[in-house]
Formats: sequence, C-alpha cells, structure tokens
Amino acid sequence: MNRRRFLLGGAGLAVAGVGAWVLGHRGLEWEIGAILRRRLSYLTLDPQGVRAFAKDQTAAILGKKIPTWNRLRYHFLASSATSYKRFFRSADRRARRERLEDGIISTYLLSSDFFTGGMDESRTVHYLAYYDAGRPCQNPFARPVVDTPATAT
Amino acid sequence: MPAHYDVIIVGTGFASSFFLMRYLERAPKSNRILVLERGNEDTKPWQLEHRLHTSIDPDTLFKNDNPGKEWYTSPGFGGNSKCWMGGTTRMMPGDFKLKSRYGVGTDWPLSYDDLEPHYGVVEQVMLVSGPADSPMPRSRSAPLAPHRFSDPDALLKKHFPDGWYQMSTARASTATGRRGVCCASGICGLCPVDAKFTIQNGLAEIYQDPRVTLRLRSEVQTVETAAGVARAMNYRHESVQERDTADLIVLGASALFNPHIMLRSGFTHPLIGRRLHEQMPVYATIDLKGVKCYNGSTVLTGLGYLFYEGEHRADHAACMIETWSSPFAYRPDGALRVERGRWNERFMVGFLFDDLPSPDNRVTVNASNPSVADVHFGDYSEYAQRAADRIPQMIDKLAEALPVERLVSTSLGTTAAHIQGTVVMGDDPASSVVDRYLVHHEYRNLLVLGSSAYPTASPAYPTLTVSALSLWAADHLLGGAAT
Repeated sequence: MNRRRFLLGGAGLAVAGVGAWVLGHRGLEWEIGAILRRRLSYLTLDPQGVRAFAKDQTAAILGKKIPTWNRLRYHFLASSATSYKRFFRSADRRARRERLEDGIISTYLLSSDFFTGGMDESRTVHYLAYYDAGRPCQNPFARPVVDTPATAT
Repeated sequence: MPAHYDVIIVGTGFASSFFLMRYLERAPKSNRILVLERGNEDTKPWQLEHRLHTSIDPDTLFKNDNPGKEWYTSPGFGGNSKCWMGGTTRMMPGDFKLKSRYGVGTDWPLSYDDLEPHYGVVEQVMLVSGPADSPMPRSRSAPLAPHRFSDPDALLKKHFPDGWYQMSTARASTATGRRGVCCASGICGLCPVDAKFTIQNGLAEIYQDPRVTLRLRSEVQTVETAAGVARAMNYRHESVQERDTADLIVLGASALFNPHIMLRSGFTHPLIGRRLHEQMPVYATIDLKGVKCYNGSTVLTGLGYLFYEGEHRADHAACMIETWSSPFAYRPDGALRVERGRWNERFMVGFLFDDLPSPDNRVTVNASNPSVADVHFGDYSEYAQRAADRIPQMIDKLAEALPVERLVSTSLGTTAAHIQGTVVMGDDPASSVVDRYLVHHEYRNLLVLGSSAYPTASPAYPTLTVSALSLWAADHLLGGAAT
C-alpha cells in the first residue's frame, strides 16, 4: 500500500464514520419522536417540541460522561455476576423495548407542561425543558405537608 | 516536632460530629482537640455547581472485588451526611437481642432502652420529622410534624394501623431556619433545597469552637500504640507527613476505613475488617388500579413494619418496607405509565432485609497501595435470602389494602448505601474488638465509633443509631447522662 492509497483509505473511513454518526443521531431522534407519537396518540403533541425533546434525549443518551474503569466494570460485569444465588439484579416483567419506551415517555411527560397544566388532554402538550431532577421541586405530583398530621385523600 | 492534643478525632461524619458535640459540652476550656478529615470542604454551593457531593472519587479510595455490589460513601467535611437520604428510623428492641430472642446472629451488648434517650437527643438535633404514633417505645415525639403520606400509604395505614407509619426522616417537613422544606425532588444526595440535615447545615458550628483544630485533606495512616496505650496518629496532611500525639484517640471513619486504619496500624484481632454487611435491598414496582402515587410531601413517605418483629426471625430476616414518592430520579426506566389517565398509578416499594454478617465479607489493606482498602463481598446470607424469597407473599399481603394490578418488576439494589460491621462490639474480647461503650478492649484510650461496631444489621436505617451510639460513648467517657 503506497502513501497515497493509505491517506485516501483513511479519509474514506473518516467520512464513513462521520456519516454513520450523523445518521445514527438522526435515526435515534426519529425513533424517539415515533415512540412518543405512537404511544401517546391520545394526546396532541407540539411537533416542534417533540423534535426538540428527541434531540435533547439523544444528546442525553449519547453525551453521558465517559465512565471510569470501575463504572465500566459495574455496568458490564454486574449483568453476568453470579455471586447472588437467588436474585438476579433485575426481574423486569416488561420486554426490554417496552421498558426503554416507558423511560423515554416518562421523561418526555415530566419535561412538558402536561402535568403542570392539569393533565388536560384537550390541550396541546408543549415541551418545556429536558427533565432535570437537580432543579428544585421537580415532582409534579408532590403535595405539601398539611397542618393536620396524617392521611392524604 | 509533634503537637500534643487532648483528643484526636478521625472523620467529620455523623459518628465523629455527634461525639464531638457532646464532648465539647463537658470539656474544659483549655482542651485541645484535633480533627482529621481526609477530604475537602465541598460546600453546598460547590456541590450544586458541580453536581457532585464529594470532590474525591470514592473509587480511588477502595477497590471493590464484587462488581454487583456497590458501597456508597462521600469523603469530605460532613462525610456521608452529604450523600445520605435522611432516613432516621430507630432500631426495634428485638434488633438488639437477635440471639437471645430468636437464636440467630449475635446480641448487641446494649439494649434499646440504653439508647432510647440518646435517640431522642439526636432527633432533636436533626429536627426529625416523624409520626405521632410509633412501632417502638418512645419517651418523646419527633420535633417536626410528619410528612404527608402518598395515597397508597394512606390506604395501607387505614388497613394496617399498627403496621404502617409515616416516614421518620431528617428531610424537613417545615422550614427550620437553616434548612428548606423537602418537596420530594428525589435526589437527596444533592438535595437542591438543602432540606435534609447534614453536618454542614446542622453541626458545622462545633468545628468553629476555639478548642477545635480541623485539618482537611489529612489522610490518616496509622495509630501508634505502646504498652497498651494509643499514643499518636501518623497522617499525611497536604503531602506533608505529620505525627501528633494525644491522650485520647477516636476513630470515627466509616466501616470501610476504621478497620483499614487499624489493620495498617498492625492491630491483630482476627475480627478487624470482618463481618462487613448492610441490609439486602430489593425494590418492586407495582401497577395499581385507580390509586395515584408519588403524591406525598417527601421522597420516601411510608414505613411498613408488617414483617419486621416476630418469631419468623428465628428462620429468616426481618423486613422493613419503605415506599417511594418520587417519580423519576432513581428510576429512569419507566416511572410513569403510558395508559391514558393512569400516569402515576405506579408504586415503588423497597424491601430492606437484615443480613447476618459473614466473616468472609471483609475489608483488607491493598498490598501494593496501603492507602487503598480492598473490599471483599461474596453474597448475602441465606437468612436474608430466605426472607427475600417471600416477597410475592408480602405483596399479596399489601394487596389486602391496595388494588394491585400487576407486578411490573423486582430488582436487587446494588447497595442499601449503609456500610456496617468490621470492628464489632461486644462484651467478650475474644469475639469482639470494642466494648459496649465502643472502647477498644486492649487500648483503653482508643474509641472506634460508627456503624463499624454493629454486631448485626437490623433492617432499620443506621444513621440515627450511629449518632446515638456516639452520644452513649461520650456520656460514658465523660461520666454523665444525656441532656
């Protein structure tokens, strides 16, 4: 292999890599939008907001910090750890696909004005900002302590 | 030239701080106390800015040989008070008498009655929120009003009035002057409204006392002993090797690092480092029919004692149930339901089982880098796992009060975020390292505080007991009673 062919091959691989990265991003964004539209078909979703959420959710998935070696060990080895005799780490009765979709939809609804708007299904749902539990008081269902101790209704 | 102190204390977490608080109440004005903390100050604004509760990666301090088991800790000023969730349950009387009542495990060398007044003091200092009723005897009620139940909790309380209680917690239910009110954000490790008690927002003033010298960034290496007395502390402070002497030495680090320091120091008791344990946590997600969840006033709203005390403890572990009231933070894989109008009809429950400690689960000193602890954990005891096998029956019992539609998932948590055992307490020097007052059996001027002393786990959250034990130890040392 001469130098010219080597450089051309390298450039080709780089272009293919960038292309795959862009297509992967776009594909994931498209998939997230499709999941929202399909499983929340009974709601009117602001299309621009769905696209913005899909972009933010994709960034959140792909933009996670590079884990340390110890984190990697937990993530990859824990699933095959056999030291626990009786309990596997998770016994989720949902299919993996359903569980992932539930997570995306949970995040979208909590990121939108749906709950703060009173869960009115006749209103268009708008995406506000990607859900961040680190901001104060992000639980839309929480109720304050009442004067009389005890039971909620 | 080493400096001499009346006391050297290691650590600034719950164990050390509650001991120091009580010690300062009685110590003469001339006393000099050195406190050594391995980490940095990591103020609350720093934590929020960096979205971290510690500036030191705990993974650099210990090597864990079990990838399926995590140990949660937060180096730095305030220790694990920075990352804890604020659960302040008391242990039940039976937890102290596991051997004599049920024939398993080990009895604690002290009783619930011994600790009861100290529990009350800690609850006052932490401004604990808790219910008016209680599953265990109490001489005083919690200082703050209870948090509001979620709807499923209310149903459980109605059906099991003597088995279900509002959460006992140091997450404030009303503003305290220093802390905000918990609003169930669900990320207690970085509480954005500073609602939970921490050493930083609740006891920092004791470190401003003129008798106290606090040295951050100080890695304790060894306790020097001679002729049956602990004499000095060797430590590295900001890359400078130091050696200071003291009349009294107090180890108040976690159950990973108390034994680590003792082993590095050449202490030879065969139980040092052994019996590492914590509760076995299993979480269940349950879909309910027509009952709305996540609507309490704090992240964990209810405590179930239905499977805690009883003769079953002779065969399998006790269980404390906790109910979660935050939709997202700890469960990004589907906290809500998708079906129309049923978004929050999903309930998350934690089952905490007490584990019987095994000598094979242990902390040792890393051979190539003695600054690092090696942590070995094989598995939970059969005793705990037999109890966890009963979760389906437990859910059936809860279904007497709740319209359970389906069990979505169960999962074994990678950690209960409680590190216990490793410097066990007891009356017999052959089977324990420290006595009932947390004084080392051989070196009588050495105290080893904290959850490292736990002989058995108890399903209860450990922090209140850790703090009460420090008051108990300080009172014994100083010859007085709780105030």
